Amino acid sequence: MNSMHWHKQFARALTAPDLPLPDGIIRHDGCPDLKRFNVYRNNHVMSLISNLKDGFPLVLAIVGDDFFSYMARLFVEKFPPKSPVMVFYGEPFPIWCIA
Amino acid sequence: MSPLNKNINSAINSTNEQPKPGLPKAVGVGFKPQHLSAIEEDSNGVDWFEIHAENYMVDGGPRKAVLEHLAMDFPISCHGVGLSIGAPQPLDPDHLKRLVHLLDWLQPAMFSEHLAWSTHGDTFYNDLLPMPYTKPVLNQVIAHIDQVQDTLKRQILIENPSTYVMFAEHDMTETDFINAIIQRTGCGLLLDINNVFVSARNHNPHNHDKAAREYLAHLPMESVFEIHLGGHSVDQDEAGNTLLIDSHNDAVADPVWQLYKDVISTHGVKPTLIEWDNDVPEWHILQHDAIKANIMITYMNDRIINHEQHALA
Repeated sequence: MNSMHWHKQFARALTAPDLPLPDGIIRHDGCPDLKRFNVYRNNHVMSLISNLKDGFPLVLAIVGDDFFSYMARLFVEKFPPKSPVMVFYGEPFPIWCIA
Repeated sequence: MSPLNKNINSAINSTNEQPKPGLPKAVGVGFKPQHLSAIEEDSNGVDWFEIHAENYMVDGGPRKAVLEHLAMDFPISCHGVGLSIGAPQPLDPDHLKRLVHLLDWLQPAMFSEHLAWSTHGDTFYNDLLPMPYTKPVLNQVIAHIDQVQDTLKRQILIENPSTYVMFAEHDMTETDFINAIIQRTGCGLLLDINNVFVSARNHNPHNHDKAAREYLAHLPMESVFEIHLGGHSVDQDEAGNTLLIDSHNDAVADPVWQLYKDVISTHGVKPTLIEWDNDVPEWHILQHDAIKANIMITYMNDRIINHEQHALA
């Protein structure tokens, strides 16, 4: 595997739950383990949903947790952050929900 | 190695002390703005605070005003989560500029980042992701740390990760990788003891206690300038092995306290942070863990003094 390939494979599989595990991602006994890799998939999506909940408490209170989480998941899959400064992430989220 | 790193290395090697200013060898807590009034009322047991750099990369506003207020009373450690030092792509120059700007304004006692990556292309994954421990990746990480230290004109600390998977292509251990980074860049180590425990448990289901102790024994303890203690949660992998998740949503676990006690009794007291980032409780719960760490530190100091008095008698 070249020095860039592992990065691309890992990143691609993170946001595509239907993709198989990247080659060479294993547990201690050498076997692949979907549940272990899914910790990373889950962290990515859930942390972004949680970030949107913190950013839009009024929208959350109005529409309720289930609906907010459903919409937030669609949003983060379609518009993942393009900056590590998460304070500004999701500014268009309420408008996007209405649209 | 850049000239700056050589200077950092020689400074460390000649004095064997942390470059000034550093954090006090006492207990700090991860700062949450909702705790500010409780902190003002009672900060007993807490001598410094840590903030996440990216949360304060804003122009003014109430968020920065609160931090400015806190920084008047306490030393601040600035902990970055977004540089993506472990990714095999150039560091984001805009993010580095934001960091320079923040550190110029805040003048923190310490800046630290992670042995991890979080960006691919221009997508940010909001997580600390693992990398294979190979020579090409090592060289990339070293070049990135050199670049950050040259840009910030200060020594930074790198935190050991917690991981859930391994790469088949690893050709060195995590501790060899960390040792090489420290030797070649002059950076320091932020030792996260919960991460040591989580990774040891996840990758050594039958002898995790020994694995954690061996991991600690292979680290350059003289380069540890900060310790993190946090909580984890428990799950299982596909084979039914216990899988610990570094979730920062609970109190520090007993075996992590035990490892902490072992580290400070062998290597002396280091600045120690209590981390709690998710399901954040009331201030007094966090303060409870801070006081617990203080009690351990006091006990160790007393033991050292008694030992010295005994030796003199």
